[in-house]
Amino acid sequence: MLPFEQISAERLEFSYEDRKIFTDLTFSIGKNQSVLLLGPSGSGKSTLAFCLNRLYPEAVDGVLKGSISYEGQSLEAFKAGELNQKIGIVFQDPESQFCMLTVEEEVAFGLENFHIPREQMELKIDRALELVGLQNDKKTTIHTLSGGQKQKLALACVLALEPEVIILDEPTANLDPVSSSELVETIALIKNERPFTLIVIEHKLDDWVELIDTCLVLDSNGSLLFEGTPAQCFGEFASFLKKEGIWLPKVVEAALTAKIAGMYRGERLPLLKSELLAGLDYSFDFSKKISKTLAIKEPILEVKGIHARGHLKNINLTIHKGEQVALVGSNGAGKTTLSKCLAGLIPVTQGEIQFLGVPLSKWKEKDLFQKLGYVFQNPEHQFITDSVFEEIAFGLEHRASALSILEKIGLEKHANAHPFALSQGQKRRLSVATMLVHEQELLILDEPTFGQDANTAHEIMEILEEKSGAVMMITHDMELVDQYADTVHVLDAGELIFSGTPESLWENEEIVNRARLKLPFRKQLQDEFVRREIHVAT
Amino acid sequence: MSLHEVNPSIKAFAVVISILILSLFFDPITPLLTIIWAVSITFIFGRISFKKWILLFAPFLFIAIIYVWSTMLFPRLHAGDSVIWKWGFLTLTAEGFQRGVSLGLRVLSFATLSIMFTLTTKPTDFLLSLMQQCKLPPKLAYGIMAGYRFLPLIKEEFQTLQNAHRVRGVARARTIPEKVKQIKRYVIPLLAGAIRKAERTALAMESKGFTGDKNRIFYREITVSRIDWLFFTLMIGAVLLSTFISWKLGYLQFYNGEL
Repeated sequence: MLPFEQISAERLEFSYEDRKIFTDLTFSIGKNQSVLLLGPSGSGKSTLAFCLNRLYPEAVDGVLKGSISYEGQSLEAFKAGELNQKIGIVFQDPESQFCMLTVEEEVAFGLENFHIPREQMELKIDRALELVGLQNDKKTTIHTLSGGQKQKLALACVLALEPEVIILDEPTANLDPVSSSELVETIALIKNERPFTLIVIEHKLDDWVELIDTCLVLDSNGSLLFEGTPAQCFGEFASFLKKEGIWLPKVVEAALTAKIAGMYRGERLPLLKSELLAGLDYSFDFSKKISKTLAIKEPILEVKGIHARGHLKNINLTIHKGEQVALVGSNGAGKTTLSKCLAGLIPVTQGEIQFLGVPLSKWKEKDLFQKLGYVFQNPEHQFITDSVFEEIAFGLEHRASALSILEKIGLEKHANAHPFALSQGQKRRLSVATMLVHEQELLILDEPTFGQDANTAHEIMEILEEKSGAVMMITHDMELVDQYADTVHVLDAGELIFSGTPESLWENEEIVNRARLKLPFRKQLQDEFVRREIHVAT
Repeated sequence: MSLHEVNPSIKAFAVVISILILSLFFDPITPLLTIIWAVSITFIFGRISFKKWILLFAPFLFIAIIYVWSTMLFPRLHAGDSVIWKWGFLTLTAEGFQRGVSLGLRVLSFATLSIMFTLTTKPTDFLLSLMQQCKLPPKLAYGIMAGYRFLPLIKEEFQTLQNAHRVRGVARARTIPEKVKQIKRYVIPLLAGAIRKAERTALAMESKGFTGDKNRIFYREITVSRIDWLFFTLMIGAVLLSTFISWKLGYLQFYNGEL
């Protein structure tokens, strides 16, 4: 039994357009607990969060059955807006959660809604901004802030209202590795200073594990799979969670792999790096799986000293036939701009790009995009027909071959569906597949695994690995870089500050810090292991 | 004193009344004097950069010149009009010339007044003032504010969409049916994106306790002082003085639907 039940839900069921999002959820959350809400994409985590805040069902035409109570009182008994002061929420998308132009106005907006006397507002705004470290940006216009700063502002808006519960709906999804960790640290610090109940929905779990005391797991049908401590959740059910497509903390993931290979001795899967190291066999090999070596180094794309619209400065790089390239860097470093320049979508102001030996400007657009593909961040942007089959068949000479491609990406059953009607993961797979039909020599992808659950991300990477041509992808995920890339390019403030193998990047501490990157988990573990060895030896 | 500090609602009110008065009359002198007045206060009390101003002013100037040109060269001839110059079918009369100039200056006087308002007023201030002084419902005002933030985002999205379709190998539309098809291809994802963004913003606003309640305590209070009313009086006074001078010079006449 919990010390004090703050939120309790009984037999919750939410349906939207005759589709059940989740069913029969019964759980309770105690005061000042830190809860991690897990589930594969489409399992209704966000919907559940919005129901707890009573934003749903009013905001959509959904039907909510069962009951939720807050401190013993049914949610329906609260006046409009009253509950929002007690339960604050930070959303995933840093762009669309603001309605004012400047930082202070945005924080004030919430205070105004709750009739806080004007004399107190200033103080509350200052305090909230100070908590998240934005005190010097009070008068800044919101759209000039970086993604990380925007998420901190969203948090400040919630903190200013001094809520008892804070819900975070994938708050780090759009952030670079260092900004993500900073946000988690900020939250941990504030929680120490002023306790509140925390409910987090998140894919990237590593930073959160130490803060969390309870896990709630939903399965793909939206039923409650598990409720308990993280140690239990990941220690005993890891392989099950993995099957459901739920992301695991990297420590757990590594231990699971090691255990299957018979190299982990621990009873239970660990949560902390130190526990993992203690349980690992000494025979465990930390080095990277050897990637396919490039036999012939034939360049297909050569970039010579390009500049673009004040964003990029003197970029030189070469992509070779069949090479897997990663482009990394902090939020706003110019990754997307560079990738668009390489595809000829943004003109360069200086310098030259040669693709297959011909300057990009000399290519006819139609011919160019038969040889060079680009997958945008939002798959919906690339759909141009009314059915999934037509999407693939578009521009194909042998339309019949579209079916075999659909089979390959597992969408043959949806051939006649409208592309917009697919699930997030299916849309992503389709958008990648549309770029594979011409056997392009080079495929550029802007964050291909963004917002996907573990299974979909894995499938996409498999499709890309099988592909014959070169691949260049923008990503914040250092694990992907470590596992898949032959070469990695690092951008910082529009300048290319590093080109080389991932292994040599991890060795270069200065570059890693400057570009706000993090070492991949394998490397972190290896470093720690070496440190211990030295410690034991001395 | 700065034009930026004048209460936005009163400023807007002054501009609207001035334009209403101007539209009653039809002569070259009244608008000319008003233009001189509006431009001088824009630069003296608004401290607006000339570049910004001329960018907004240029399109109106263009329209005005076309007006003057067409009314001068293709006038409705009346008996007794004094002909200044004649060449082929083109006839320029003194009356036609005056009508053209009056029309052109009229357009420019409306423009200079409106530009003065636009360049010296922040949209947020205007909406806050409309809520505080004119009792505009917060639901509407904050809706407009959120929409205003969306405009650049939607433009960005449109460009991305264009690029994404180029990469797919969609040829540039040339014939009309192709163009219709292209618009259809753009509209669905753009609308889907816009609706989703709007829903998210609405949800975010609601999550911060926004109910549209009219009893708000505003963090930034937009006040009305004597200076604001002084500004109002000066603006209207200046327009009336212009009419008076025009009447003294014998040009003034009521507007009678001339085009």
